[in-house]
Amino acid sequence: MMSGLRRIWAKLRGPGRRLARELDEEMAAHIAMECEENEARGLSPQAARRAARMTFGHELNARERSDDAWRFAWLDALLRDIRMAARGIKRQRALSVTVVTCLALGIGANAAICTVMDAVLLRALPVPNPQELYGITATSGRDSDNLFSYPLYQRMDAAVAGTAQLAAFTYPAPMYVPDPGRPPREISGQLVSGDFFRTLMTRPELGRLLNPADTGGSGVAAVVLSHEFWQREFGGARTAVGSRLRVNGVDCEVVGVAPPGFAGFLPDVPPDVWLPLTLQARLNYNHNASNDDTSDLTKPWSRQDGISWLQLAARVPGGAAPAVWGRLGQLISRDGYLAPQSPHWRVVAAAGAKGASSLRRAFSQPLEILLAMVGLMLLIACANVAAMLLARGVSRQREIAIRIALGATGWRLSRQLLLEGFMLSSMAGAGGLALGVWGSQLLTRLAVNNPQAQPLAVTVDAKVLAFLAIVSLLVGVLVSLLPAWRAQRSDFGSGIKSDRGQTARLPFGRALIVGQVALSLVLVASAILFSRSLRALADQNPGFSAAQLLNLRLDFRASGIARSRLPAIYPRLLQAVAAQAGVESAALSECPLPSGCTSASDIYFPGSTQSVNADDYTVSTDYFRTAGIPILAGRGFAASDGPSDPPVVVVNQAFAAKFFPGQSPLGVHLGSDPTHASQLTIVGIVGNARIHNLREPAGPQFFIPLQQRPAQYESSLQVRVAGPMDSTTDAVRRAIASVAPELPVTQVRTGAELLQFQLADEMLLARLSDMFALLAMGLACIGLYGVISYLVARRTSEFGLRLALGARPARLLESVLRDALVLTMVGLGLGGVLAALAARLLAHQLAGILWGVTAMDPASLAIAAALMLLVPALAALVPAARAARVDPLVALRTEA
Amino acid sequence: MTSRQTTTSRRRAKEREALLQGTLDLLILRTLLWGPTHGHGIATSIQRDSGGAFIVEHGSLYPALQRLLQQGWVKAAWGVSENRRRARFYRLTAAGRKQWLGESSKWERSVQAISRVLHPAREEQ
Repeated sequence: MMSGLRRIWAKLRGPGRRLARELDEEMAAHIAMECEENEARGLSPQAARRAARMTFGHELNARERSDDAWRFAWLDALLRDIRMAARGIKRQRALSVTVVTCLALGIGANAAICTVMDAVLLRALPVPNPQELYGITATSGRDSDNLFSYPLYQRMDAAVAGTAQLAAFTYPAPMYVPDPGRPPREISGQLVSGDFFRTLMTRPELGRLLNPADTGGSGVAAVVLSHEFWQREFGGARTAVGSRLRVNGVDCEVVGVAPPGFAGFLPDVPPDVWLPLTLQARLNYNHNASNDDTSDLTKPWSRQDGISWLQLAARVPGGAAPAVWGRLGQLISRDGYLAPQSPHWRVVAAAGAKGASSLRRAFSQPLEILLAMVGLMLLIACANVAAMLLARGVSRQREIAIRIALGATGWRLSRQLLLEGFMLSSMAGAGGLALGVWGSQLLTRLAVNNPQAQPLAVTVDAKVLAFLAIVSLLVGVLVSLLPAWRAQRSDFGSGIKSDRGQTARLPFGRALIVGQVALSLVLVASAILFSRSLRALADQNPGFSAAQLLNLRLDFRASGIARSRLPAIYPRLLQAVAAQAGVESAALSECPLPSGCTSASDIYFPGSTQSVNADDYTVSTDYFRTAGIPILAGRGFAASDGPSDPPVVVVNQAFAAKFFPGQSPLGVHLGSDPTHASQLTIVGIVGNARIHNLREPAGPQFFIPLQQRPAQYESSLQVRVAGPMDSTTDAVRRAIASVAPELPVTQVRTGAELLQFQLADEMLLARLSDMFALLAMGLACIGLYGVISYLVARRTSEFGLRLALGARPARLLESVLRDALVLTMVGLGLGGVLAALAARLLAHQLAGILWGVTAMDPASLAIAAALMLLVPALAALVPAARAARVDPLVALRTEA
Repeated sequence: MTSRQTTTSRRRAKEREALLQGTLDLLILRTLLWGPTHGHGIATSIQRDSGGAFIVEHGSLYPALQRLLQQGWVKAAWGVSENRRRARFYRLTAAGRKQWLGESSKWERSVQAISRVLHPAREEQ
């Protein structure tokens, strides 16, 4: 044991000086003896010495290998090579910094995108055995719905009891808690079934979680806090459990705290609190529901089959899944409520280990595109660096040839070049890590388009670190492979003579430049494509005027204002707001402009039992003026459309065009059910406004005056502002508080801001791709500059000769520029093919992202190609000018 | 063209060395059984005893000797050669003797095994 350790130590220490000296002496003695013997055989002293040396072989080599016996040879060689490589890197500082920067940018961009991708697309829910979880939807072939009614959920749960567990939950919705001295504060609450936590197998951090007894409907309401909310609101105090929390005016008892990081089944919308879903009516919860004629939204939802408002998740232990889906399918296709609507209902289960994420759906395509882009960028950076190293390798040929002459093996040289590559790439990897952390944070901040939303938990974990290490390693191999390969077959004779002009072709360097230009073209073209798509989307007329428009969210329902008080509050509120300085007009509606919010209903025309579907909006009198939606025919709403006056309705152009093509719908009647088909009269036609979705043309819409439905809960206030936005906003807030102090005012946004939120994905993609394209072009410039100036340097004597023979400098300038231009043109041709290939490969992802342009957009490609022509102009001009300025005398003298 | 030739010749040198690597240690130990001697003596006696079949590149000898020293199979001490030249004499240790016995019988066994495979008929006679 001891001697083993001593031997390792001795090996680490190496042979030491004394041994080295002894070995030298010994070898000298050996050669001397050999010499004497040769002389004794009659050779001349000189020949004897020569023969002795010949038989001995390479002295230096023998010494090195003798040393090796005393060391861990590989370790020693490695250290030596690292020292050599470090010296090489330090000697060429400018080049090394450029190389590391190029690679760090490439690696960092990849790390950032991968970190976000990991957080958004790959991370499993922080619950035990997440692979047993499934998200459940039902489809009838015609409709598919991920929302279920509570009674149906209960029937489904009973059908699979014993083998699987089903949990029901709502989408988290804004709720309000009192804030002493101020209007109530908005939090995010999720209503869940009693076995929600049991299905997810979550353990409480503190106290207990909800259980089926909590949905019994008797006793005090129980609320579970998220870990984050508990820390924020209660400072992490253990006394929080058992305390009271008033949510939407309902007194709840805090029964427990969920573990950190737990966000339920919807990881990108972490709620602050969880409440039993039987509290729906008492909390005045009214979000994300679809209902039919048999239902009444004002009565408690939990007993109605006609209101679908719950999402379902299932936990099915391995193997039982097919049986469970079979049983659920059977139930749903024979269900007394569902079956009469369509005979084809079936259950669709999606793997739910990662939960159901709308962010994942929305961002998986842009992220895949971005991943492809950063991958390309890394390739470009690698090609660029390889070209630079190659050019340097050629200029180092002399050094390499000398080292071969001194007995270095090809393997030894390649090993050192590989090591240099690794050292550069690991420095770049470290830089890339820093860039990646920063970039991923930036990216999530940019990606989450609602600034109030909690940012996604993006952390750099072992997976990403491993990814970084592998990428750095690969990059290291990739960039040093070519130079190393060249070193392996380095030509002793021509290298040591350092003849200029003979090897001025650098075929690999040229190939790398062509590849780089090609890849850059793909990036630049896609950046232009995304920018054009964004421009098309932003430039289109949304049908309303977003400038000088203010949106405020007013939650009358959740703040506990009774329906009966609404008819009195609405006019007072609108009057108070409209009276403020700087306010042109104000209106109430259900949805901000623009927003993802919509509601649609079935309508009937007289004489037809067939219903048609259109978006409906209940808006106050001044809505069209406030929103800037033009009235094209007939009239808008007026004060005279009172509750007792004949009911009127205004439709949009799309409505008229779809249901009354070629004729005027003015004066036509319609109704909400066949027996009252003449209830409403169309009195006006307005322009198409993309209230719901900027990406699609507005569908048929109809508007109903709020005065004729005075007890309807509205939730959005629009204000057209004449003066400065900020001061007017404060005035509007004060006006609201003077009428209804208990009313929470949240989400105060200008129309322009909302437009930006709507375009956030496109803007993010466009901005990032612009950045990548610029970087790619910059890299291409650097690479081309390096290669061209290298070629010019190699051809100095040729240029000198040509000048001496009477060539005009302009001719030389032209020839160098032409060289660069040809390289670029070849690259552009190849890039065009690559771009077409990429467009086809990513057709699916692109189709979901692009707007107003196609993936194969020739204009984008043409603009990109034109832009790329800047590269040779920028990169080759300086070296070309250098070629033209060559002094024939100096050039020819260096030749000799 | 030049470069290719250089590469090939270098590769051939490597092959020869690999051929000797396993046996050289054994041959050195064997030579030292007769008594302590110096590097040059070891080289010449291997060459002589093998009837010139093994030409030890003397450069390979010293790394091998260092290896044996490291293993503790030989010991070295400075002395004076027959030509009154200062030289380092190598002596077999007890461990080295044991190693030689083990290695040489192993070697013998494998030689026999190989010749049995190569000439099965001769074995039957």
